[in-house]
Amino acid sequence: MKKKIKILILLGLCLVATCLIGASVLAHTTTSTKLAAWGRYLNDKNHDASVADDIYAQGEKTCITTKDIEQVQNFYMLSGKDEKTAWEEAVQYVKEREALYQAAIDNGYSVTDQEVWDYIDELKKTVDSADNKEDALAIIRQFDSEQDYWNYEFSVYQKNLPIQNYVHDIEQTFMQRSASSKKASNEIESEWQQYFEQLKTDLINKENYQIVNK
Amino acid sequence: MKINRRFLGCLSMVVILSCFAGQTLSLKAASLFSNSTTKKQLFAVPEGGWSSINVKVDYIERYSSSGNNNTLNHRSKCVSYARAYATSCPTVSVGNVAHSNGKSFTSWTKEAVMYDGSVWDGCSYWSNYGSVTYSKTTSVTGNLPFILSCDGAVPASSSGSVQLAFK
Repeated sequence: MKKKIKILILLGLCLVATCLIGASVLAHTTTSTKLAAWGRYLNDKNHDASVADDIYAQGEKTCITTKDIEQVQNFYMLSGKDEKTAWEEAVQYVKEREALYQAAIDNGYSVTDQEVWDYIDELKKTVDSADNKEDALAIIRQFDSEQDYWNYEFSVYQKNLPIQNYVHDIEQTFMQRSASSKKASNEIESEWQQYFEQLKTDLINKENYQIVNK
Repeated sequence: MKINRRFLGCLSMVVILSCFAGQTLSLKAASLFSNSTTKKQLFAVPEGGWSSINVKVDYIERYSSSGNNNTLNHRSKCVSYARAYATSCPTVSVGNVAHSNGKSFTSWTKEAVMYDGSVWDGCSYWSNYGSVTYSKTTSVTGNLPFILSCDGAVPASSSGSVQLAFK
């Protein structure tokens, strides 16, 4: 009887361990599956010259396109959001990115093609040394070649690099100002997140986007 | 006579200096257990690029010894981070220290810290002064968890931890 109880307990522990390991593998597989699908979408879109680039909304200095919104919508739907929510959040995201880019350019953060390629070289090293390098490879493998992928990233970072440099300097100024305060670090970080969200909102309001193509 | 006095004066000085030189300063080095881990995480973002965060997390337990026991009376956690992002900001959140016997430390005081600004964008350091006593051969271990996350990105988050053995 005691032996049977011990065997049952051992089997139970094995079952629990299997479930925990399985859950972890499943989570990683789900991420890899999502990113592979994302990579296929980016590669297809990158090669599809027929995709129209209609202007969805016009701002004071910049505009947002249906093509860009649909890309972000696709990303959110791959993450599990429904079509309507994904569209609404995609419109907001693209507005934020375009408004940030315009603010970066207005504040002198434009970059040359060489600076973008130099950054791409650094990004390759970052990807190669990342703990979740496999996540990046799940996307890269969907492109016709690795160079094809990095050529695509060049087009992304022509806009992202000015934004990154602009936001980095604003963050550093904010953190230095907060460093002398007696606030806890998590409080300062939370305040930065709020400040960043408010910055994006203010920049969108400044653009005053008007929808031109529903 | 004068020469003898000078000689005696110099000899006295030599004797006095020798007494001081013979002293050894007793320095009690702090005893500590420490460990650290680094993690570099990529987050895929909707415009087709990446947000990234690179962190180094340190966990230190300071103790004093008495007989067959160690009393752990001061622990610290430190996180240094560097991040790159355009629209989606990645963050690091460091949890509470928990010992494998169920003891956890939830009250932390932020302390000043210096860090290399050419490597890291920011650094935070906290201390807790709770006291626990374990045998020098204890199998109790300490764990400091942390989470890297990026709202709206894929993956949304990734966890890590720093482990410490207390023997």
